Amino acid sequence: MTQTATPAGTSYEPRPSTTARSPSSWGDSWRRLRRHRLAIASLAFLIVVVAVAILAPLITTSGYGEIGFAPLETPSWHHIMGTDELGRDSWSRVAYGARISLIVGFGSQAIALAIGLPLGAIAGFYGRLSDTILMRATDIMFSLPTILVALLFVTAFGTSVEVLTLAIGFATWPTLARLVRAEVLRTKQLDFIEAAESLGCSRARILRVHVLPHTTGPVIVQTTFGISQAIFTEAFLSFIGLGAQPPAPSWGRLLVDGFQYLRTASHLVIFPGLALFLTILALNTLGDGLRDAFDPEGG
Amino acid sequence: MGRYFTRRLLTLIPAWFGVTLLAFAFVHSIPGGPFDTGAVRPPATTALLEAHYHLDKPLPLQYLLYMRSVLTGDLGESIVQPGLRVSTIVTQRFPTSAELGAAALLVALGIGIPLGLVAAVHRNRVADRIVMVGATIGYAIPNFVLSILFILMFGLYFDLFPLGGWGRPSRVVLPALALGLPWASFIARLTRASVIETLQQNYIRTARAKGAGPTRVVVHHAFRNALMPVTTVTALLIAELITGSLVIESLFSIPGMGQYLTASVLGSDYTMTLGLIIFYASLLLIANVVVDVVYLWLDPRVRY
Repeated sequence: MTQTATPAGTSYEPRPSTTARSPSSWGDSWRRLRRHRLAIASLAFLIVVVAVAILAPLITTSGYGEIGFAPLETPSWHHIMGTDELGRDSWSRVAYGARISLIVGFGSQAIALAIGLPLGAIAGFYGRLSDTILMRATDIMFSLPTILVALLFVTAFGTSVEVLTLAIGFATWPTLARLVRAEVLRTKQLDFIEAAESLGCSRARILRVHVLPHTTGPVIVQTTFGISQAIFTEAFLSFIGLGAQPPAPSWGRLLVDGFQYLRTASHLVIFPGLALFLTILALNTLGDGLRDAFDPEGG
Repeated sequence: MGRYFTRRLLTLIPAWFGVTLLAFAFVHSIPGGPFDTGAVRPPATTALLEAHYHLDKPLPLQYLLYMRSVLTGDLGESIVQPGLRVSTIVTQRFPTSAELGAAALLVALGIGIPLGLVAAVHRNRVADRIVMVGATIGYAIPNFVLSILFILMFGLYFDLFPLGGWGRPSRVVLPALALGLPWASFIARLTRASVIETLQQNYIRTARAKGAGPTRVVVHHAFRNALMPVTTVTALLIAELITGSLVIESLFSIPGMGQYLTASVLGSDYTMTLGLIIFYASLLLIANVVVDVVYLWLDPRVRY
């Protein structure tokens, strides 16, 4: 999970001379991001969500599938988010639900990066046939919205969180591939690439060391929005019954199960709904902040 | 423009075959046949059933046979309810989904564009702040959560709108708002950014210099150019509204096609799923071309 937080970060090593992005420019971006108070608040909130997901067994008093409490109880000191129709602690279910959302969010974008980054880089850098193939393949993928791709995956492989993660990753790689391609096309015309060529750098090394680090900023921004979209899609599919299966407590699943008790026990809808809403809001706000930080002139 | 349109239509063909091949491959990659359900059936009957759905033939031939029938307008037959044609479902159910989609598109553009314009003109003032906060929040609320809120507020507490069903205009309001409002937020942000950028162009300064008032500058000079990015995302928007309606239709009990698609996936009605997905994808491919042509018509500078 951690390597997706800094996508392509592994391929980036600060180098003394002709490196594309000097370490100080990372510092500049970070300083600009820090001034964006809402983005920092969002980052803090997301760290809390990640912590809740990781520490779920420690900070909840019962497992997410554990039954035996009084059913449909309103929030109290014992059950801060109340209990559901089977007498399960809602806070445990919301906390474990964070795991599912984050696994789908980060996992699908890791898959999208693993496919999109190399394909986009090769198509943009070497061009010709590889470029034509990539553009036609992405054309096809763009006419299939994520939800439809996910439906195809579910039809073929059944409903589970793993299948959804795979499906969303498979549906979203074209966006990243196109982005990387455009950035690579732009970067490879710059003067320092010519300088590297004249110094005798191999093509592969130019791509890896000089061109790719330039794409990191936009890729991080796009991945942030990608994670938020993936979490949204997972919730959506769980809501129509095609995602996490009971008793797995995905936020979308909790919402659809709680929906029947909307009038009698609205806490079953309010808490997972709030968790979902705040997480997506935080990811989008962080994405906005990152975009401003990496690209101070644009927007 | 005619030549461009023809060329653009031609590029559709490989993309369309790619989509159908992908969908076909996925649906047919399921291990085991659709009739291996454990139901007791004489082998001869199973053989007849498989022959009826062409399942006894090699996969490439199955694909070609299927494409032949798709090209003649027949999207196949349900494997769960024999005799039920996918095309029948499309002709019966799609008009309802299209109405919902069109109403939601109207909400997204009709609310999003004016709000974005107001925010841009009042940049960094109160009106802008309110619109932007609203848009950021609106874009983070999933449409099904918004639907639940609407059902709770308007349906149960205030009893302003009828819930569920279809047919009368009053029944369209809530689902169209639930489906369209998140995208109105998106469009508002996009319009705002685009208008602000356009207002910094040289020709706007020229217009101001020759004495055009602020309203005239925005309406006559900036607006059309500022709408270009909005046009570009309209194709994406249509795709999102169509797939978004899957959940809206079930929450508001609207007898549309989205509900049928979900049901076919849940009920392992493979041929129905395949046919409906191919219909959706074809629709979106065409929408893409239409949006490109509108783009060209709006901006004569663009030449392909």
